[in-house]
Amino acid sequence: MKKFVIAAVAVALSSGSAYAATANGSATAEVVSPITLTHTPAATINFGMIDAGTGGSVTVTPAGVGTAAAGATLVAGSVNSADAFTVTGGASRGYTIATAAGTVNSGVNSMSFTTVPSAATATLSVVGLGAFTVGGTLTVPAGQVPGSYTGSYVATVLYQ
Amino acid sequence: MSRRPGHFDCLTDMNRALILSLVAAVTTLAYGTAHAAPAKASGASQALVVAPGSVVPLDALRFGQFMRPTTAGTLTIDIAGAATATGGVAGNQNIIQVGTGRGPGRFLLRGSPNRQTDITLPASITIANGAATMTVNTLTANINGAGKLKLDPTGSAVLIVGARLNVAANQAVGPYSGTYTITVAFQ
Repeated sequence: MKKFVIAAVAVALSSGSAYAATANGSATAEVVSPITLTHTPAATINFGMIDAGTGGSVTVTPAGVGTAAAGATLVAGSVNSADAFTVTGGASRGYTIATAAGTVNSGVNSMSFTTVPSAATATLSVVGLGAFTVGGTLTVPAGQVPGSYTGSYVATVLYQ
Repeated sequence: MSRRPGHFDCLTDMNRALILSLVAAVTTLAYGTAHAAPAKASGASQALVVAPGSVVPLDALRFGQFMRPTTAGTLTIDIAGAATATGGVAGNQNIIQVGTGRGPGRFLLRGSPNRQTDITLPASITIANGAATMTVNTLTANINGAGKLKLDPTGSAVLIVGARLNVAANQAVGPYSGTYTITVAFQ
């Protein structure tokens, strides 16, 4: 009797040797708003009214302060300003700012300039907004032909 | 054989009532999800008790953050944790990962030492952000071609699950999440 019971135990155990278990895992992803860059209407790097003189340069800081160097001078009453952009994207995301050089033209005449943003990197606000300004340095050759010069440059923002 | 959890011996002079109560205890253990140590006694006959199988989620399958694509694309996380993007997602995934970052799903399997397990993965998973959804499919895992993963000498294994996320053009922004069920048959 006793041995019979033990045999039954063995049968019960072997039949119970397979066992299936399930588990729930989670899967996640986050789609982040594209970063957008918008030029502030009417904003520009304004290098001002310049007397080329013996040649030099005019620098406008990202804060909009202009100074002339070497033989170039700013004419009395000249106004300088920095350019401005707004950025939108994902909340609290960091981004890089890059601004390229360019040229300003008046007919066939031109001058080159470099640019500098107010920061190389920045972080969007908790609602995903940001802004930066851009200054630059204009090279003014001696005897540059007078005229109203305009041009453009490329600004790029990228998520970090 | 040395005694250890997973084994028990029956006393030869044990009366029938006691043996029957042991059977009941073993049955409970075999079908319970916890891997508590079985009761032990000493004696002449032996029987192997297959430790109850348990599966514990360790990590979510994380596709991380990526910028919304303008054309459809995919983002695949392999079991090594590498991310590969195609279509409109290519390049958009190269942004700083905040929070828990990217990685494959991981589960801890506990069973009897050196036993094989049969793993069943879902064909697809839906993750959602409100009414917006994305499909996760092409699930992969660190299993052999027959779908098996062997437990190590301590009775443990970590199941790693990768998959492909399908992202639509202009997919709605925001966090997406969903759940999926894996089945592990302990042999």
